[in-house]
Amino acid sequence: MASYDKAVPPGGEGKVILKINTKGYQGAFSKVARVQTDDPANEQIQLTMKADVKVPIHLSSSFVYLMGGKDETATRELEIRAELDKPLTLEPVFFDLDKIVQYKMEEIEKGKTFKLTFSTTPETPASFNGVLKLKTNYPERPEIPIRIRGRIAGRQPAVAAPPVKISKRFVLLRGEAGNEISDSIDIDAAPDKPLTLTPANFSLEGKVAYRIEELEKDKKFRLHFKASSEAPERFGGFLLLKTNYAEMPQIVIQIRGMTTSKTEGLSPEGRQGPPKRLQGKE
Amino acid sequence: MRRVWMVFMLLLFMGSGIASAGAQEIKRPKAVVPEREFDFKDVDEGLVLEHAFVIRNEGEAHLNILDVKTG
Repeated sequence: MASYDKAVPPGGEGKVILKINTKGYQGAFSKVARVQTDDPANEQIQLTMKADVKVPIHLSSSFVYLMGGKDETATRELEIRAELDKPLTLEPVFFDLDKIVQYKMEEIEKGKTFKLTFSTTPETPASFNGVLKLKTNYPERPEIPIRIRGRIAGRQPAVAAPPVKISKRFVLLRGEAGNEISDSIDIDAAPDKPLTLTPANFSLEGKVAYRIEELEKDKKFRLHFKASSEAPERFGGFLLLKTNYAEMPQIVIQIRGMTTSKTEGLSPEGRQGPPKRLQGKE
Repeated sequence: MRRVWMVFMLLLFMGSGIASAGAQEIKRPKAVVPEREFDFKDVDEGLVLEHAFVIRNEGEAHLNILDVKTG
């Protein structure tokens, strides 16, 4: 980013201010700015800002690209080095390329230098993209994500994992005030792929209560919704859940509610099914 | 004779005018940058670095900075 004085009077002084964010950089770093002026002898002036960016943990690369032929094993190495004067520990906490890519982690120098070796397997598809996350004991850098991508010539494309199965995406909480008004939704994980659900946003706090029941660990979930006794006659909102599936990073459940007092009863339209405006939003 | 003298004087006047216009210098700006490179040395990752480079105009006309491209 740059800001500058557009005109400098004869004998005067102008400024060109350069600003650079070092986030995500490590080691030797330089940025160049080219200043164009109407001085015929200096139409372009090059300005350079340099720095040596210190990081608590140095990575030879934060990205691994594996490329090879059908019958080859592609291998790449990555080095992780502690830059602070305290022992470093690394623990893999997430890896979404199981069977597709193999990796091993070696401690070259205890608490100081680690080597990660990534290699393709006979099951590696034509192309892949994933991440390995390492947890560290450094509060300055608690997590290291390493992106892994690759392309293997002559292999079959990956079979897309079936997405998460959701019994319905609408919850209709309808009934007489004073009675229990509840509904539920079932969510099933894809086969052989554990699912985690994390509530990220809920817009009906105080009006609707919900809980996530894990029927089968990492596989089957049931979401229970219950209208609060203080819920208004009509309400609408949503629950947003984050998942660990890259192909379906979030699930949004729409929630609508209609409560009636006992004396009023449900309208004939209400008895026949949900109003049309609530349908077809899948 | 008088007419010839007038033509001579006119030519002399025009000649001196052209000569004085040729001698007149065109005013130009002159950009002088005392420091073209700045080294922050060791910095922690995540910091936003900012530096003001000075451009002096030692010419006789206004210096215009037309554009600054970073990359």
